[in-house]
Order: sequence, then C-alpha cells, then structure tokens
Amino acid sequence: QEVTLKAINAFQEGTYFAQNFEAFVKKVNEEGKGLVQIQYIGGPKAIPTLEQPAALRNGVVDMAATTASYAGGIVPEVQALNYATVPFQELRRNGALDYINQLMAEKNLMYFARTGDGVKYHLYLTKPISRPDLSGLKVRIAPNFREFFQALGATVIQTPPGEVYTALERGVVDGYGWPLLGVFDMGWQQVTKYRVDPGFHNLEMGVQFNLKSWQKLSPEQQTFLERQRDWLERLALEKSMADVAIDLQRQQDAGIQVITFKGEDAQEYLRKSLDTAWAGIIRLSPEHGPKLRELMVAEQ
Amino acid sequence: MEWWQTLILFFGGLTLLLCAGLPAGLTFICINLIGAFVYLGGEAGLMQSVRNGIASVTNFSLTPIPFFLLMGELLFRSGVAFKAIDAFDRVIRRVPGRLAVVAVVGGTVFSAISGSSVATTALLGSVLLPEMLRRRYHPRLATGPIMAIGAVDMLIPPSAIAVLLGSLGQISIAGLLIAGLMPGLLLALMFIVFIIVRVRISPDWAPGSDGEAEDGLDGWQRWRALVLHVLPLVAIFVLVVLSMTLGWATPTESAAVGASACLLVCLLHRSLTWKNLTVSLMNTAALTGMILFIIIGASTFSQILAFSGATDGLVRGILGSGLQSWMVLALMMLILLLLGCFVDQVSMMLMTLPFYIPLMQHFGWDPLWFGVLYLICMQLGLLTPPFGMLVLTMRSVTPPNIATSELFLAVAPYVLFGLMMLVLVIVLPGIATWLPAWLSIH
Amino acid sequence: MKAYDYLMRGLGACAACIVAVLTVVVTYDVLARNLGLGSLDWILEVSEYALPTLISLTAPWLMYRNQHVRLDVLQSMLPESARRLVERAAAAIGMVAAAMFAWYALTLLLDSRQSGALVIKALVFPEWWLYIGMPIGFALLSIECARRMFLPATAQDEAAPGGL
Ligand code: NA
Ligand code: NA
Repeated sequence: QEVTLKAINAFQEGTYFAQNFEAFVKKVNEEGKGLVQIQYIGGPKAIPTLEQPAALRNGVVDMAATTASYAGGIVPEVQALNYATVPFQELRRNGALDYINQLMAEKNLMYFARTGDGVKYHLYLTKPISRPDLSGLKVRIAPNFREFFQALGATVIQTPPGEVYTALERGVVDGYGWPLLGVFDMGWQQVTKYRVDPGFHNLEMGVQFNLKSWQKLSPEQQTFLERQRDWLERLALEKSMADVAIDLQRQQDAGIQVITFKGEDAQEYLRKSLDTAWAGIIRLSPEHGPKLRELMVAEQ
Repeated sequence: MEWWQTLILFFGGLTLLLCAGLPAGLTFICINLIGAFVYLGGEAGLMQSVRNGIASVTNFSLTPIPFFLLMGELLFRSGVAFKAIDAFDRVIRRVPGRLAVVAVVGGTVFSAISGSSVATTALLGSVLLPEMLRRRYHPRLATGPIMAIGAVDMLIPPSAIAVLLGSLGQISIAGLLIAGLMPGLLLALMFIVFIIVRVRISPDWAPGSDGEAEDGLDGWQRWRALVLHVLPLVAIFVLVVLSMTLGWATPTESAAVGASACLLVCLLHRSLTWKNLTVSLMNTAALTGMILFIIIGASTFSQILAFSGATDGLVRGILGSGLQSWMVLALMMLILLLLGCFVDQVSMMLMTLPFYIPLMQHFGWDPLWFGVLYLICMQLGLLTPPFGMLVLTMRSVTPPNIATSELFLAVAPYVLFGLMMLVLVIVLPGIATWLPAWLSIH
Repeated sequence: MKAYDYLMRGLGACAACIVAVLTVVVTYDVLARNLGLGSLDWILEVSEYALPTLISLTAPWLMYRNQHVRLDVLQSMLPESARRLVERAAAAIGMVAAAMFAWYALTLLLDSRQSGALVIKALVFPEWWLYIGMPIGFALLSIECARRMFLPATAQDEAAPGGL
C-alpha cells in the first residue's frame, strides 16, 4: 500500500540549493502513485534549518534535504564528506559511505542521496593577495573552514549572511569563503573584486533519512526510492557541472578578477585546507576520523 | 482539516486566551503545545516545538534589542535627557503652543537615541506634562503630541522593533533603520504644524502666550544648554549611524557601541549614579525579556502554521483570488491596523509575517518600502484603542481626573496624520527608499 | 515568602548583569578589531546564547511583577467578581502551559544529552548545555502562575506598565 513520507528542506523553497530536491519530490509523487508519496513541508519556515536534523532523528519528519555542516552536531563524521577528494560514487563503492552510515545508524539516521557534488569552495576578496597569506585581512567564515583561514593568518569574523553585503561594502570584512555557486543569489558579486583559485573542499549537500522510517518501507518501496535516488544524483551532478561553467563566466562578466596560486603556493594552500579540516574531524572523532581520511582522501 | 479551518482554530484560540488576560507569550505557547501535538506528531513534536522556540531566540539579529533599549533607559534615568529637553525649552520661543512643540522637537531628538517608544513617552510625560497642565494647557494638547511623537520613535533609528522586523522578515536591518528616518521626521514636522494651527484656532488651548515673558537670558546663555546637552546626544546618533555606514561595526554591533557611548555621555555629565545605572539595566532586562518571551512563543506558532500547511493555503488562496497587487496591499495594511488595535507589535509581526513576506516577494515589492509601511502600521497600533501601549504608558503619568477615553481622543488627530503618511509612502515610495539608496545601503 | 521575593529579584538582577556584560564585551570587540588588536570571534555566539538565558531569568520575574505584555482592557470592563474569576482562570491556564513547556524542555535536554549531539561553531560543546536554563525558568514561571491562582491576595503588581 501507499506510504506518505514527510520531507523538509534546509533551504528556502524555490531557491537554488532547494531545487534539486524539489525536482526529486515532484518526480517521486508522479511516478510513485500507490507506492510512495512525499509530503513536502518546505523550508526553514516550518522548522529552523539547524533544528531539522533533530526533527529527522526524532521522526517529526522522515526525510531532510540538508548539508553535513548543519547536521554535523549529531554525527560529526558526516562533515568529512566536505573534505573528500575521492569522487562520491567511488565512496559508495569503497565502503566509506557504509562506514558513515554505520555511525549514522547509531543516531537513527541514514545518508540517502548526494544532491550537491563537484562544487568547490573559494575564497573571495575585496583586496588583492599574491601568496596564500591572509595576515592583516578580515575574512567572514563559516565554521567548516574557520581553522583553514586562521592557519593562513586571517582575522576571522562570523556574521549572519544577511549582513555580509554591507560588511564587504564598508570594509568590516575583506573577504569571505563561499561555494563557487550562489554568489549571485546573495548579490555579493557587486562588492567582490577577486576570486582565489584553486577552490578547496567539496560542497556537500544531501538527503538524509530517518532510519526507522526507511526500515519500515517495503523492499519494493525501497527499490523504487533508490532508483529515483540514482536519477537525483545524476541530475545533481550534471547540473552542478553545467552551472559551474555558467557561473565562472558570470563572475568574469561581473568583473571579478581571478587570483590563481600556482605550483608550491597552490599545493600549500590545498594541503592546509585539507590538514586543518581533517584535524577538526579527528579531534571530534579520534576513533573514526583517521580511517575515514584513508578512505576519502586520494594520495597525492 | 482544510487550511482555513486550521487558521480559524489557531487564531480563535489565540484571541480567546489573549482576551482572558493571559500574557501574550504564554498564549502562544498554549496554542503551540496543542498544535505541536497534532501536527508535529505527539511527544517528539512537543519536544521539537520547544527546541524550535529556543532556536528562534538564539539569534544574533536579536542582540541589538537590549542595547537599543539600554540607550534610552540610561539617558532617561540619569536625567541627561531632561536637560536636553530643558535646552529646547530655552531656545524655542514665540511659538503658539510652545511646550507642545518642545515635546515634539525634544521627542524627535530623543527618538534618535532611544530604541523604545515607551521610554520616549514616559520621559516626555514625566517632564513636560506636569508643566503643561500647570499652565492650563488643554489636556488634549498636553497629552496628544507626547504619545504621537513616542510612536514615531519606532520609525527613527535606533528602533528595537525595526531590528526585529528586519530580522524576522529578512529585510536589511541597516536599510530599514535608515528608511524609517524620513517618514519619521516628516511626521514630526506635520505634528508641529498641526499644533501651531490648532492653537491659532483655539488660543485658549495654550493660555498665557507662554514663553513670551522675558526670562532674562541673553544670547549665549540661551544657546549654551543646547550645545552642552543636545550636541552630545546628536553625536551619539551620528556615531551609531557612522559606525554602521563606515564599516567599523556591523549593524548589530553598532547598537552596543551606541549604548556604551550613552554611558560615556552620562559619565561626562556626572549624572551617572550607581542607582540609576542599576535601574536602567534592570528595566532594560525587563523590556528585553518581555520581547523575547513573546518571540519564543510566537515564532513557533508561525512555524507550526507553516508545518500544518495553513500558511501555504492562505497565500495560495490570496494569489488565486485574482486580486490586484494594490488591493492585496490595502488588505494587508488594513489587517495590520485592525490587529494593532488588539495585540502588541511583536505578536503582530509574528502572526502576519509568515504570510506577508511570501506575498511581498511574489508581487516584487521593495522590502524597505514594505518594511516602512509595516512600521507605520505598527506605530499606529501603539495609539489605537482598546490596547494602545503608549496610551497605557501615558495613563500611568497622567492625573486620574483625565479619563482614558480623553487620552484616546487626544491622540486621534495624530493617528490621522499617521494614516496620511501611510498613503503618502504608498504613493511616493521615495520617501522611504531614497535615503537608503543615496547611502547605498541594501 | 521573603526568600521567594529575594529569588525573584535575584533573577532580575542576574538578567541585568548579563545585559551589562554583553554591552561591554561587544563594544570591546568592535574597538579591538578596529584598532587591529584582533577579534574575539566567539562573541557572536556567546551573545546569541545570552538571549534564551535572559528569557529563563526574566520570565518568572516579569510574571511576579505582572509585567508581561498582555491584554487587560477587556477585563477592566467586567465587574470585580467576574474579573477575579477570569484572572484566576488565566493563571491556571498559564500554570499548566508553563509546566508543560518546562517538562518538554527537560525531555529535550535529556534527549539531546543521550544523543551526544554537539554544537560545532567557534566554540564546541555538548548541545544540552543550551537547554539548562529553560526547564528551570519555566518551572519557576509555572510556580508563579500557581501562586496567582491559589493565593491571588499575595500577588504583587509592582511594575509600571511596560512595553515596547
Ligand atoms: Na528610535
Ligand atoms: Na492598539
């Protein structure tokens, strides 16, 4: 018989980062009549973004489209997905995802689908730099790369996203870290002068399941959802690739100049991004962190 | 259950409990507990509703509220604000209804430092009202301007309520604070003109052509107080606005800088005592607690409404009704004005914003413009019966022989001016949007 | 009763202290950053956590002073005896609602503790620390409502009408 799953989104309905999951909901509801339906409750207006993982764990909702940075409080190891250099489909094959799912199962959670992949974070600045050295600069950070920028010598500042524009314009901050996509959504291209290449980390967005809700589904329903999931992951990856190309062009058109680190500098920059990130994971999870790093970071 | 049935149950329960005199915050919590059990699913849902409530007040956007309130409290309790009003009293001469005009001018300047309408009204009410009544001003002339300018405080930055509106409606806080300035000043100007005309028509409303008598002050003596007592307050205002616009601090931080500057000014005036410092802090804590207590209840209320599907239902209903955008806007403003009669400003926002923001986005209205319209409606709610917060404040400093109904009558003409300003801003959005655009604040 | 009075006033005093400390610390951070003395990037978070703490402290204290925002105009139109009845009924509803909120806040605390959830921002700490204040604050609020229902004669309404 038909089952209805309640789903929630960490991002406001209709916005860029919410769209992939919304397409998935639509497709499931069309093709899953009589089998699986998704009741899409919407974005943070129904449950605040950072409280959604708890709602998922406790079964207030059955599925949540979210990111590891938001859900990291419950299972810190999920954040490692942001710091993987191995492609996600390889993580499915080599057991890294199973490993993470074992840890999530202890908290009644399950990693179901990857909806954001193949997009790097970048450092954006209003002042030029020539080396990976941020001393004297004030940079707006998110918690997942706080220590990276500190290691590069920056003074780090946390502000709500709504205040970033003014902060950049008035020089309260000299830059920020953000995925390659999404700068235009925030309107920040108007006050951004430089993008630093290469990008670091790998933006993770995904769909997580309440484990009990998943286990209650019949094998037929699970298979159906897994087929839809494969479609979603393919769609998301193709869309990311296309949008990265588009946004690189848009950034250029908007007059954002590129600062590219080469050779030694680039290596040092990326090494620091990985080392600080994994040090954070290992500090939160001394037992599993090192094993995950082995599975998720390709030897260079 | 259909979305409109849900809405009737939620808002019906709310009205009933509010009318019974239950504190607004607890009223929301009551409805939330029931709503969470039904829609979020039993015990886990109840736990989630508590979690969501705590999360919605754990929000950096709300931290300017105590700072803005503290600014007004400090200047009020230390007596520095009294001296400033006294200074205006010395330089505003030969104006019909002089003390009423002093109330509006002094109130406007104090509004620029105080983030709280109640503080402004209480200040003017305790300083100028006794003097006006002693000089046999008509009670309506003595009380009306004070309440009216107290309400305008909400439009003139700093404003705790504007911060809250910006944070809940995801409207630029700095932009909203600046956008309210021009409509606020225009209103103050209208009040002054009205007072002068009113007293010209009935000179017995302000007897004794006060102020005409020579007080023996010559030029500098007359202006000295203005420089000494008003200039520092203007400097604080400038500091807050500059620290926001020059990039020394985020809007939220500049509020704390402003509070510290007020403390400094009180110290330099040698007006700061241990007693008035502690009283200011206690009152700030109380006012902040009052606001936050409502938020913790009411934000969860709007979340449960959204979860139940009622929010989407109503918004879809309005959009599907084929109403044109100006009709929807008029309807929204009317609802705000009606709500303002009965509930406090924080509850108003939390009850309506879940519907208003999606509609605003759908029709592509300028958020700053819409925010200012919203603020004007809210400030009118401070004055309208039966629940007019500033009228109640005024009640507590007015002699008992003046009836509460007299106070509502006294403020009625100023409510009309407020409505005029509402229409004016709708027709000429530039009144609200020009200044932030000129300062290029988005 | 004396001890109860001190407790309530003490809650208010603690809240006032928090406001004072916040003002000083945030101002210091702005000054330090603009003078190039570095930035205390945890202040943002600490000032966020201060807000729910303020609620826990002030909710019972404001009830004690009858200072919460409420609509009392309609009651003032009722005859004295009916007004008392309505007020006691409202206090009873408040007592139950506050007690339930306190109870589920406690459940939340225990659930969070048992799940081992962390807050991972500039500061990293167990999430349940965030939930310590609420059960206590709302339990006290419930007690104050109970006093207003069972012993309405002892209730004080010392504060001037407050507002925004
Ligand atoms: Na103001
Ligand atoms: Na009103």
